[in-house]
Amino acid sequence: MSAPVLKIDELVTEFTIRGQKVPAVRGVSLEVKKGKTLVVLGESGSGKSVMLRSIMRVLPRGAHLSGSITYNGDNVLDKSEAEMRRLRGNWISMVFQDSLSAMDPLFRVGEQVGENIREHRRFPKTTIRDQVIRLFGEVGIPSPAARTRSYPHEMSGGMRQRSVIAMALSNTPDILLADEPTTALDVTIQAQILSLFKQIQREYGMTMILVTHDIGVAVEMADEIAVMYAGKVVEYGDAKQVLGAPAHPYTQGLIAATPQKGKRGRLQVIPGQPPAITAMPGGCAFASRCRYATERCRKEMPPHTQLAGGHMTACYKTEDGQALAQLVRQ
Amino acid sequence: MLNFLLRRIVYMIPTLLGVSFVVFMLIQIVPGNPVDALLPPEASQEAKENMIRDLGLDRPLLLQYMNWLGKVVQGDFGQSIIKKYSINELMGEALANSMLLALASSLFSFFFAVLLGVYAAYRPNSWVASLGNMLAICGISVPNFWGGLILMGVFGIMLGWLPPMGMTSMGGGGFLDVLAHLVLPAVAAGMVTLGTMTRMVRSNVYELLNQEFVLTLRAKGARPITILLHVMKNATPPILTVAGLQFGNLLGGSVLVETVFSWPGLGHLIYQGITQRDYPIIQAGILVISIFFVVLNIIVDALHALIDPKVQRV
Repeated sequence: MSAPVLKIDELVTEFTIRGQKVPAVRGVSLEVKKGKTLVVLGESGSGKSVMLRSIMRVLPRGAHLSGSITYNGDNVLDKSEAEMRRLRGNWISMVFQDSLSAMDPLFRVGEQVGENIREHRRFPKTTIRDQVIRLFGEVGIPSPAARTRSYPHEMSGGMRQRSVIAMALSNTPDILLADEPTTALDVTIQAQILSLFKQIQREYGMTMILVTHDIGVAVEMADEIAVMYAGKVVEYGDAKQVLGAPAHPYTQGLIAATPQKGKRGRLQVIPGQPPAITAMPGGCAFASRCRYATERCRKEMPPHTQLAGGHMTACYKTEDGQALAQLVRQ
Repeated sequence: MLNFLLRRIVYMIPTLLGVSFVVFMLIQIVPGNPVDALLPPEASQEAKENMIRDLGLDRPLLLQYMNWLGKVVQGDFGQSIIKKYSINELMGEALANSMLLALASSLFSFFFAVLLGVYAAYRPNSWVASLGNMLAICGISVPNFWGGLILMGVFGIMLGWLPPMGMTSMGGGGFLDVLAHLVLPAVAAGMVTLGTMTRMVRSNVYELLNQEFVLTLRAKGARPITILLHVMKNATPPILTVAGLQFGNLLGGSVLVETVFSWPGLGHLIYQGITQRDYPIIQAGILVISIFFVVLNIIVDALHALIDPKVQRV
């Protein structure tokens, strides 16, 4: 087994809202191996996007990070802003959800992609232009030379997402972070973009962390899956294990709430809402929505429990092997 | 682009016709007439009537308007009733002086507004931001003629650093002399603009800094200067719109500042025209200012279209 490219240890990201510290990420530990894809699954407000942005340290003012994020033997959180700048878009790149608002409306798409190269390397203008055209071809944009001269609003959503991916690839980074990269697209385009990601990963041998709320995307892409709920990882492991034998009641609920081929009848819902980050309960954050919850769940946060094959979950139910076996059978 | 400009220039015509007509008629509503200002109070009724006839003020209004318009179209604003000079000459000189003042106060106010506004947007909790806010409130709420008097009193008279009024010293008139005379009225006239623009720039840039594309830029590892460049390009259209209007205001609206500082500009001229009921001067002055407003608007729109690809360029 190869060593992890990126290792996140007990990451806590807090925001200061009206003088009060509010945690959005509450102690997340994850790692990704070279050339693999980690999918972070969770509903909106689970802290998954903030976690992803914490890796790059592109957070709003007043955000405070603690724990450690190890990349190439260094803790990213200790780096100066200038060192971070050299890392961003160069060794670690990011693809955002909404490609329209992710681009400056007043600059041509080609310029914005070329800018990513220009900010990190000194190349003559013509070299950069050629590179941008090559990248556009690589991500499957038809007539790339002409498209570099378009403005963002002149492109379709799919083309725009492709050019945002081209932008992220422009310095052949080690790690690609993608924040809901297909959510804003319709289904056929989604499938195209996902297969583009796979193709890129094959060609570049790139490591990917993909954040999504869509189990379909996770099934398609993940080598490993981390399920996040209320700022914590509640289940983490090999994709097959997590999807095939979900150990945490939340993951089970998520899977049960997803339509599946060949299955009829009403979809199950997870009742209730995730807790607001300003009013986090003391025990397990999922307790109020969990049908297996006990007094103990409400009072104490369950620790991470190792299951077979590196599979891990944070639930008291799984501590007693009995209950787990029951849950899996259901 | 050429098409766009041509069309806008054609659209100018009805606007200006409307303005000239309204101004011509409005002046007639104001009580008093130039004859009272020209003749001594004890002049006989007959002398007054003779003069009114000589000036053509007894003819139907519409006819007077058409006569005047006919000449204006040929570039002749006629003669001042009171001063007996050609208005073209009076107006030309006053316009040049006003232009100078308007340019100086725009330079002053635009420069500091952008500087303070951008800084305040980047560091909303700094003392510079508070200073900018305070300046903005003062600029907007302090009447410029009063501010002008205070400036004049402090820097012109108490400290004696700068000449308090006029455009040139006795026997002076060199570049530096005019520049020294320009400082106080330019600052006084520019304070309102400084106030409005600082707030506008600050809120615009602040909003832009929270845009998603700025996040992308940061995630690209863009240098702070690159980010500032993107933000400023996006902030330019609204700033230009306000700047265009403000420049027009400074050109035509600094009547009080010009009066306080005895600056021989357009505002001063119109002010005199109004007190003496010198109709042709008022009409010419207001028309000239309107032309500037409309032209400024066209320039702003054209620049807007150049910057923003989503604005139609036809």
